[in-house]
Amino acid sequence: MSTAILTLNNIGKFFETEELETHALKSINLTINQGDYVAISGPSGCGKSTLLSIMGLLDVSSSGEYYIEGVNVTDLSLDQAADVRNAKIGFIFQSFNLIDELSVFDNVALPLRYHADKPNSATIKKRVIECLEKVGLSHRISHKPNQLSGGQQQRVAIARALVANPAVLLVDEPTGNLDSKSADQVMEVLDQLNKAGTTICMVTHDPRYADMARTKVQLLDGAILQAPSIKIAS
Amino acid sequence: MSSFTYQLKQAFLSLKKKPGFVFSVISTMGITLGALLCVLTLAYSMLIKPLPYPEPDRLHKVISQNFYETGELKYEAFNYPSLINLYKNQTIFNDSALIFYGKDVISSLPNQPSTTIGYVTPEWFNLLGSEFVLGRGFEKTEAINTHNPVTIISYQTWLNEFAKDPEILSQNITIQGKSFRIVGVLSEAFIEPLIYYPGYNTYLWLPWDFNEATFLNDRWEASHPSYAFVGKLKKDITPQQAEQNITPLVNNLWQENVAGMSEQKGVYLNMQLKSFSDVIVGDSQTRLWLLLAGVFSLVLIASSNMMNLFVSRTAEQQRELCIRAAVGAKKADLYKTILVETGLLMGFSAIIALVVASLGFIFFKQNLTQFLPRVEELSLNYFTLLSALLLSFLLSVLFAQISVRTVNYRALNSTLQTSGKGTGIQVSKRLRSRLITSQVAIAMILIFFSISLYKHTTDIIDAELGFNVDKLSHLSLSVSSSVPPTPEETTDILSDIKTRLLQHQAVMKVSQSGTLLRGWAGYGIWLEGTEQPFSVEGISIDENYFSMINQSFISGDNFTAADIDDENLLLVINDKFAQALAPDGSAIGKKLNFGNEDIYTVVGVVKGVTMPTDKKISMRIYYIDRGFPSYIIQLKNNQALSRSQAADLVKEVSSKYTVYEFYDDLSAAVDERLIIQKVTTLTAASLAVITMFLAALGLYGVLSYSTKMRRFEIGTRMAIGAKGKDIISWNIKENGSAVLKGMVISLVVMLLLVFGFSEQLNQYVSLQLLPLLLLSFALISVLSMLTCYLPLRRFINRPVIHALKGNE
Repeated sequence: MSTAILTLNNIGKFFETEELETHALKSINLTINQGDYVAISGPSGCGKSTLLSIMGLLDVSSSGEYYIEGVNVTDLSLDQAADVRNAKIGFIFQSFNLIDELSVFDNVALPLRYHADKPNSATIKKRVIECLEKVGLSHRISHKPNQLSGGQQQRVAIARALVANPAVLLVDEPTGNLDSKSADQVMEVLDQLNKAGTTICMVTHDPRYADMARTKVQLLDGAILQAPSIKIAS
Repeated sequence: MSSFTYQLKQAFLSLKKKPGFVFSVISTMGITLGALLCVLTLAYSMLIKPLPYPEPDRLHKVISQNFYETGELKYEAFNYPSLINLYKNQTIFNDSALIFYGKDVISSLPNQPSTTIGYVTPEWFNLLGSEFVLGRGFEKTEAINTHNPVTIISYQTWLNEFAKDPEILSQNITIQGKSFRIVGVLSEAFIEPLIYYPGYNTYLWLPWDFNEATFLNDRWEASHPSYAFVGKLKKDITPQQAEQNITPLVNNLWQENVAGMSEQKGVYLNMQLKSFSDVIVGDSQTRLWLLLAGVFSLVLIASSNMMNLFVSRTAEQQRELCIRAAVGAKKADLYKTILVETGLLMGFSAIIALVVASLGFIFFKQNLTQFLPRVEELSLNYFTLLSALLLSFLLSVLFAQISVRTVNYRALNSTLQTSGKGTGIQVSKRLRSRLITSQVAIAMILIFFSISLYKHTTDIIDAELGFNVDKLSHLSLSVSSSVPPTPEETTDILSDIKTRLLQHQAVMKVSQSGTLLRGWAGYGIWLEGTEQPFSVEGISIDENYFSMINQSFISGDNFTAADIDDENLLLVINDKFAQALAPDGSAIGKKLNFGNEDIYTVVGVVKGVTMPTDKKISMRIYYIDRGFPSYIIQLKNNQALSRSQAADLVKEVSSKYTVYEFYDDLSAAVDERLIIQKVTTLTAASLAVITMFLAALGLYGVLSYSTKMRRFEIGTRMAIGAKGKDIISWNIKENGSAVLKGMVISLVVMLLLVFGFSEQLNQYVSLQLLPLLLLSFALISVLSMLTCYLPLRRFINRPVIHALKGNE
């Protein structure tokens, strides 16, 4: 039986202004299991990124409950959420979000600097090199992000997401800022990671890359339209 | 609508949406520019603005310098016969006048006010081009030796004492029992040349003949600092030629008349000419430069802050600039847009600055007239307005330049093309660090100097006086009758007044003594058997004086009541003089004389006391003079004695005396002496607080901007697990080196200043400043840490998505 990594029960998100209440997400129920490769797609403004933010504890839901590896993380404090993000979640952003002033090594090592176990330098180095090898960039370890191509920067971002051994990779439009060749390379890396057992949840509006996922979730107006092969939490 | 009007309107509407930004800019620049305008106007008045008299450059004061044979300056003061000699026989001034500065009581007024009096020859008012609101100036009928009892009053006296009575010219006033007919009221616009000392305004003018020092009229050897000779130099004569002309004129006759006086042997006179502007400005220029340096530094630090704010503002306007660029705006168009906005803000700041400067003028006039010359002339004038206009224009251009330099025109287009996701115009890390470093360095220097100055002045204010002034009042009297009392009458009347004072229910103890805070007279005194003269200060006291003020004896005895009654020729001296008199032994029993046959014996030595603001203890003597009209009064607990009560009491005893000066609390006299220190303390404290405020605003501005620009990085770090405290410590580390660099630079600059101006700063610099330096470092460190933390709050206390999306 597959282990549930992420479980969302009736997750809703709405934004209030003085005159208006906008529902970005409406009662989302979703479970992502160990080893899944899920693509969330939908038109612009359908709530994909909002859903990913809540799943990554970057944002809080307005209603519902959210579990990571069976633990309720709905109402964590900011610091507790930071610990969970560090230990359980790896992020990959559309615009890479690498820190220009840090080298590739330091960018990748960054999550370990905030890790509760405070790993020593040797451990950090070993782990960073392992991750960079996985994405084929160990030879660029001393470079600065601006010395790399867009595709290489995104692969560094993937290495950074992997370095703390997260339970799941949350990927937001990973190819949005890349040319098609670089995009293909990044998607190939993600595919290989999933095949090696990494759980991935990816937001994309590109149907070609959504098809590469094992499972597709279609969002429209903040609600799940279609999730044919994954379990919808009851 | 013209392009300029359109841009002005757009700028106004744009700024309307940012009230916080507008308030920060206008308040900061308004206040600091206001302070600068205030001091610049003062500098203009002091250094550039012509004096408000006809042909002011030709007006000079002649200073009589008495030199010892060795060439050492003895003192600067005229003796009466030399003064008259110069006045009557000089040929190098077109017109000249004499003035004697004094003070007396107008006994004919119900409140019997003490007032400052100028005893002048008629030419005084002509020289100054004086205008009168009523009546006239002095005429030939009021010249020397006419003894015509008339008076001219100032506009303030007319206003305060006579409620602007239009019939004033029919009235008389009484001074020392003599009635003076009022013949003129000076115009409100009359500005007296303050050639005696700063802040000494004259409220009443009497003809020269009535001056208080007539007893010196035939004393060639005795000078008085209140005599002054002024004149309008002939056009073709230079001051140097004039000095060469009048020095022999004065000195030769003086030498003839002091030929037989042993104490004047070798002494010679030299006449020095000083222009009115030099006399009036005096040594105040140093203070002016210090003030200018202070306000310039403030404007510098404020401008640095504003640069940060404007750079942040430009960053915020990124989207708007993108759209403008996309629809065809050139770089020059963007510059104009920004310039109109900075111009509008600086325009408003200039208006506030003019208001602040006006308030500053009021503050200066109320507090600094004794501290700085020509303060009473301060007002908004063309110079102030022009300076405000120029400064606001220059600052507008500066801020617009700085802002536009941060805009990468090419990047703007690409920013638009990428929808602005994750990119944006940014100030380089180097520029950011430089802004922080300069901010910290300027703030450190200003704060350290402000605190040091504050400590220096508060140390003077809080210094142990070495004597008691609590519950002590001081009363001094002047003769109010036209016929002065005889010495015997004087002694009796003053003794009776003392007795009467003692009978008053509020009074516990009375000493017929001079005040310890003012009125020390200078004496030349000789040790018997030698020709060694000593310059000492002295006052007359009685047997109660030392016990009342708690001044302790080191050796010998106090005067006894019998000594006082018999007016024995005894002296008590202070330890400083005792040391000079008898370096290796006791001064008790030493015999001294004042250059005549009377021989005084030293009977006691008291511990020297320092008057507030005195840098050193002077050599002092205390003698007995029962004709000295001054009392120190110790009051009973919870009792008070007013000036009018004292005046009534004096009147009951004798009509020949009136109250000249009365302090119901001697600490008021102490405060009077400390006015400069108190104003300096207030200024230094204000400077430190304003600097802290500006530094906080500046550092917050640059760090807030920096944080805003790095929000994606902050969001990313938090997304991968950084907690709030991790982000705070990271931000402190990021900016710590720039802060540290600023501190080091400030330390270097301060050391350079200390070594470069060691002479001027000597009295301020000592190891005791080390804790203050550490305090300044601590303040800046705390400030820096706070400003590192505060801008982060909006990110670290909210879900990470706010930082990542930039939606604050």
